[in-house]
Amino acid sequence: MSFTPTFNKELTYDLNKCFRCSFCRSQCPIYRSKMNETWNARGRMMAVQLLREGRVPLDEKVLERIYTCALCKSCEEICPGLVKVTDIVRDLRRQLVEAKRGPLPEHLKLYENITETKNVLALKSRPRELQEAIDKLPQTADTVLFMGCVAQYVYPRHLTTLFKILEKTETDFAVLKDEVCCGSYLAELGLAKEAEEVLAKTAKILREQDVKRIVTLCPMCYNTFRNDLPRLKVTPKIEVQHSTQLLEEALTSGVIKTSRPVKMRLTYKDPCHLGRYAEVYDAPRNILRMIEGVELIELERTREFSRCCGGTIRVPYSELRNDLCRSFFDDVPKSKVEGVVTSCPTCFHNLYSTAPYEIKGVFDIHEILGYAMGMIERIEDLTGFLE
Amino acid sequence: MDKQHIDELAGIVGPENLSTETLELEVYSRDPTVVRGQAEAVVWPRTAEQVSKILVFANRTKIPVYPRGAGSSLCGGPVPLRPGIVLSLERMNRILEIDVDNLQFLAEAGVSIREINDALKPLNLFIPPDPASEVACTIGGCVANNAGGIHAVKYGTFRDWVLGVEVVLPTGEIISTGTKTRKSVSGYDLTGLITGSEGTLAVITKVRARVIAVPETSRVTTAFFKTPEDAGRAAFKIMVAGLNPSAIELLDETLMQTISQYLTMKFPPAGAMLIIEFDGSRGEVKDRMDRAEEICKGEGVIEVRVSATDQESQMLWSARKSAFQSLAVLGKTSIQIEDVTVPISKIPEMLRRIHEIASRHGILVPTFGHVGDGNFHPHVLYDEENREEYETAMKATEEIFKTAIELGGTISGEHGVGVLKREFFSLEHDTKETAVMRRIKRLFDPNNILNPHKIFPEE
Repeated sequence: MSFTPTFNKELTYDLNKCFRCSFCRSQCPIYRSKMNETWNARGRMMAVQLLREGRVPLDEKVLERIYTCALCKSCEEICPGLVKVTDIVRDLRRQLVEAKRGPLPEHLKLYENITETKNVLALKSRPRELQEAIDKLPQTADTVLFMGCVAQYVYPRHLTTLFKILEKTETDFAVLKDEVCCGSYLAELGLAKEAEEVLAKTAKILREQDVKRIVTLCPMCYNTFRNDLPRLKVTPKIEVQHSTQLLEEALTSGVIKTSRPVKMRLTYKDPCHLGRYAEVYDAPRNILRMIEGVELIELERTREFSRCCGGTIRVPYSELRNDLCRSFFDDVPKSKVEGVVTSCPTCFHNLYSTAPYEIKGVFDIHEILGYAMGMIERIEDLTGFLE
Repeated sequence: MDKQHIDELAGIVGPENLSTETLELEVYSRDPTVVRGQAEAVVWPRTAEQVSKILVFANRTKIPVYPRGAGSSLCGGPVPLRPGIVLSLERMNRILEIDVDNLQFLAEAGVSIREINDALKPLNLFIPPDPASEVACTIGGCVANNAGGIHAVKYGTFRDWVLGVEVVLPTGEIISTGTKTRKSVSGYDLTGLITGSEGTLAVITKVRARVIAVPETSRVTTAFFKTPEDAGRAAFKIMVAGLNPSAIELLDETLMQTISQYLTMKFPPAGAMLIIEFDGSRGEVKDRMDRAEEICKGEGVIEVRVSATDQESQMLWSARKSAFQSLAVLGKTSIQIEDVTVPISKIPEMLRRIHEIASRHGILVPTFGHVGDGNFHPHVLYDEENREEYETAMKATEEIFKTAIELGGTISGEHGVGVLKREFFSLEHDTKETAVMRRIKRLFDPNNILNPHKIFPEE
């Protein structure tokens, strides 16, 4: 059964603009892991062209290349033709779903998880400490903090810390008690309809509660609300902020202050979805700069050239994520850097699980700030560096 | 190739370093050009010994082998024109030694120029030739094609930096050429012969090359001229005055328009601009910049902008660096990038004639050039799906080649002949000279199995 992708005029033009220059070899994290051109952005764009020309069949090999693109946008930063590689890959995945050739069975499980448990991880209930903190929050407010699946179910301390900091900023905020996953995972796998259906659930509640502002801790949720929510045309215009933007403002204006030094040489890892996708590079760095004792070390590959942790690569290819994290840590000068800070729960998870022995810790920016503000007493792995 | 052949190859490199998958064969059969090939297997050797065994196998079976670096060639160089083996060097990618005391390094062929310079940077060293694809292109590929770049006007091409190479001959022998010394006149210069041989004489597996200290500073002057001829004359006079710029780039009016649209950068109305870079010690750079400015004034410059800081230098360079991207503004899908080169006194005329050819054919040929060494990059634009436009583009390209030769130049200053310029080869080389080259090819590669059907026209 043949499959011939067809794109709209804009994406067709983009695809044709890839003239196979090879520059993306220097950026693509999957290429770096595989050292084989077919796993590079150029190879992927060629695969799409070859499918269109009927020169390659849509087999397991081609599907592998399509589903292992990390959508990290690293290639787009260096592409002389400004080819929108990730838009093409996303659209191709959407077409595969339409043609019933995708996604992979493992991917459909994510949709089932969300319909059954409201989160991608299929966890039935939130950790107790988080639930207790949520119970103390008001039912509704103009500002909604969208918690996201990973922080909610795996790293609740990132959220409880953020709650405490937000209270200090005197921001009236609520969370959605029955928060449903934003659907970004589904959209990235080409499950466009399902993603829309999932996001519409949140959109409806946002409209009912007349929410004026959404703050997210997860950069992927941040992009979903910034880009996909307006497209649903369910809510009036809602301001969307990443937590680091709000906290930077609060620190700069003096609404919140840090009091405890964190004597540590830290490097900041830009999450792809906050950096390359949304160009929020400075807010998190400025937060760290406002903490006494923090020495911020920039990696050679930083900001738009920051390495991807592989966060969007799903089963059955998740073993690639370890390779990508290893690549990231390879670039960290261990003699100069003691800890890595990030502002994305997914990056946190991937880096935390793979950090080499020489790295003292991987930290969430909210926890570091919470500690510096004297709101939490302990951060795992930080023993010996604080005060 | 049959199953037995594939099994034998897999036995040499290991099954994980061999592919016969359709997707891989297709991808490894192309480079940025329109040339398509027909790989039957892709192999990724890890050592020179494996390369040697592959070539011995190829010699016995008469199956052609096509060496490949990053596959960034602009002339079809690595494309497997006949069914055969693509030999990718991308997994031989280690820097083996940085010899700071002797200002040189030794690297495997698959390391990129950027990776080498990243490793040299903490030592305040660098290797100066910088082809536009330096982020990706490999040291092996650069030496095989004798690549150049914008700084060639001062620093030369890879030929000027290579001290020696380890190569595998098509018959399987592994030989090392050159020495660790800068000077050596003992015996024939095999390093020089292999440099620029486009992978037709031997497979380069290691490169030893010189490096130098990063200059104290580099500063940029941008000068806008009424006509390209004025700009060309100024460039020529800067060279003749011995000001030794590290780069001197000319952008034509079309490019100035696309760049200003793309970067929302404002340029004065002008027919051409020069970007002139000087590097060295601070005082000396300042002095040479002042003298260059005087020369530009003498040639009717409209405006001169001078950078006072590194940041400003970078901003002025951003115009040049975005030149290629900015062509997207013109909305064409495909670009034929040429690299004709003429003696520097012919720069203004070459530029005038490129524009004349473009307007006669009614096509767009935005041009920039490393004018300090007479090297032009006319970008012939067309839409891939429009057959007529493609043919016009090819006709214009041919005229550009003929003009360069007529002016005493070459059809290729830095990209190589590969496949695309083969049919124009005899414009530049007569039959006697070509015959010597063919004899050299036969001496190295008696069975014509290494990157065959490249450079020379079909016999």
